Amino acid sequence: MRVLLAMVGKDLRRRVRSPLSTLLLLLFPLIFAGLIAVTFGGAEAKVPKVRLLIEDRDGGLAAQLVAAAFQRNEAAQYFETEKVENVPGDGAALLEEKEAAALLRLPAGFSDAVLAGRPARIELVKSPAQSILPDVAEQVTTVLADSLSAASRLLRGPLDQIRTAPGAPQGMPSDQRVAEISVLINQVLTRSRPYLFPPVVTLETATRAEPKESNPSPGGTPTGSIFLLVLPGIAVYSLFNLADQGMRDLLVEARLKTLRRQLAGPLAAGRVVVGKALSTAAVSGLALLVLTGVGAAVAVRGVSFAGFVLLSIAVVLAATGFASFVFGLAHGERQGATLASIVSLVMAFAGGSFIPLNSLPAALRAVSPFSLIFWATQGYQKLIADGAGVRAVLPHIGILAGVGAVLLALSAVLWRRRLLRGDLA
Amino acid sequence: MIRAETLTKKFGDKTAVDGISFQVERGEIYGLLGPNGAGKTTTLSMLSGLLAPDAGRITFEGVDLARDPIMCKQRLGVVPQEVALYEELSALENVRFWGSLYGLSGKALREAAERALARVGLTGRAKDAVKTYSGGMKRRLNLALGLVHSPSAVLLDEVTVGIDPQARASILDVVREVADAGTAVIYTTHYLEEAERLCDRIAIVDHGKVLAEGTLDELKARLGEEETVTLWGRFEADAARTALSGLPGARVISAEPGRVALTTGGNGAAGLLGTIHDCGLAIDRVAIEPPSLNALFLKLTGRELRD
Repeated sequence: MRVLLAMVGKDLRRRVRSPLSTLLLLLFPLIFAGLIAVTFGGAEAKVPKVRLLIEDRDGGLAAQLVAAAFQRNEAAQYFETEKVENVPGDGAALLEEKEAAALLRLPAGFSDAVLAGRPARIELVKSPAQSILPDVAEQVTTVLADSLSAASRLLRGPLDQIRTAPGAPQGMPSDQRVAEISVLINQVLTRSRPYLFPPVVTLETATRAEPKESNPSPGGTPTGSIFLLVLPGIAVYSLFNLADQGMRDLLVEARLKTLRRQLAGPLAAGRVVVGKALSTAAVSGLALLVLTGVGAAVAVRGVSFAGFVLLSIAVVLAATGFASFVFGLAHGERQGATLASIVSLVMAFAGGSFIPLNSLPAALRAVSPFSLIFWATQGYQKLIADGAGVRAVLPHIGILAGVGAVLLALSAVLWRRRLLRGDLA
Repeated sequence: MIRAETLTKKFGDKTAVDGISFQVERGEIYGLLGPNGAGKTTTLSMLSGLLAPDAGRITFEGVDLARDPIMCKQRLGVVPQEVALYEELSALENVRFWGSLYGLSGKALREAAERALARVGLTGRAKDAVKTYSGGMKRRLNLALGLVHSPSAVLLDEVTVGIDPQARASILDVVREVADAGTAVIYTTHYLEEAERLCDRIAIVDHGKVLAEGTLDELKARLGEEETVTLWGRFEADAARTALSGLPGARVISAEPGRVALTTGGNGAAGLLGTIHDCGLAIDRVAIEPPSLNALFLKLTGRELRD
């Protein structure tokens, strides 16, 4: 045991004296997760509003309804409207001047046409200077126009009464008339209910559950929460790279001839491999501790300590086993590094380190469970984001520890064979 | 102490070591002298347990290396040809690490590390990173690592390659001290003068075989009073061989275009030179060498050690 500790101590000292590559691998997940969090979770990063100019050349009831539709309820969250008048030409200059996404022009006679059931036209001028927001305005306006068309046809009778109501110079009938028309509209809607509101809508309304009491977000702020959501996947990927670096060191030592010297000493070949695997696990464990410290500083909510510790041990075991196996197979340092990089990258991609799993193509999602990084990332996310306990991550711990142990055992056979054959001496 | 019996090692079709046998006693420096590729390093790799011999047996103090490699290696110090050090670490950290591999710990390790560094004159730089050392200092530290656990036998593989004469002399002094303290030393080299100065017994090795073995005097005695005459000139190898073959007592030991070497057969070179002059060879230069290891090597192998 003392000899193994001496080997681990020697390797840790070497890392401390040449820390650059280790530091880079340690900083990578922090920088990556930090950038993602700042980009998507910043306090200023609200959904941008669609700035819409409305030119009401009509002034009638239907035109006012359309203009008001963009200012009420949910629409007001997404649209910022401004009334404009006498806009010259197609309004392009004004759009540019006011940095608006679109100009909605309601032409004179619009309300009359709608009420009379005649074809009516809404003009929407989109700003060429913006990309997505004008399209949003167009979509919403299209829906609005469709709704108006449907209402115009369905409520033909009441609308005629509105249109022909006496004493309504601006299309605004008296209160008594409005009451009569309302009754009429109600009757029409009641008769049309089976066709307009199919049962599914009713069912949806009827069975709508009370929203669950949601967990508080793990990071408190959106930035913190996104950081904690992204960090585990990238951190696990970095740990695998650190482990690769650790086991690669056996081949580095073969190049430096220090491995040959160790094998000439009173050590069994297997012990040399175990020593290196322990060093690798120690470095990975320390790195995990640092990353956990940063995560804990950001988190506002605790996680299951037992779950986290057990999962972390399993992750270190899996990363060490994976690295040992890959470098045990590789013929040389460079080949091993290339192989380990490619496999780690694929496992990270399929495991959701870079892109959320639900955004991956179905084919890739199907192979995700074959990725060790998938189990590690999912386990950490269950603990951190869902606030799950140790029971919830037992399958993750089992798979990671099991596969890690099997890979370590296989790699021990590979390394021993190579060392005894004199390949590395 | 160390006993090697008919060691054989093949790599594919090539026989690197072909039935080498020798025995080295405590306090003795046994030199394996031969050119690059002679099989010296392969022999040491088998002695240090890094390569398993295809045939033959190795014992350390009667313990079979194949049966109990850990016990044998525990008694053995190995100093490889390459400078095998951790350059990021200090000399002290290097020595302590290697000492701990041999089971030293605590005070014993501390003292052994200090002793090893003092022995090679690196105490003053013990805490400096090895990467700041000169080539000679690294060589000395390389030697110290093999001695830190006070082994009863040491294998030194071309430990003075590529260093200045002063550092070489310092290393040779340390090797002598180690042997004088009772350690059995096997020392491989292709430097004749090192073998002549340092080794108590020498084995001349080529093509994986021991061609001759003995003390320096015994080996020289194999040449008797023979001197070696080397001639350079404008001639073909066969022509030189034919022209010189009739000389009384002389024997051509190597011939190539423009260069031929022959032994005088105890007749003395002076008498032979007049006869050589009459052979009709266009000779530009002549060298006469008294009985020496190089002459013996030339006689045994047909080529000079530096070839």
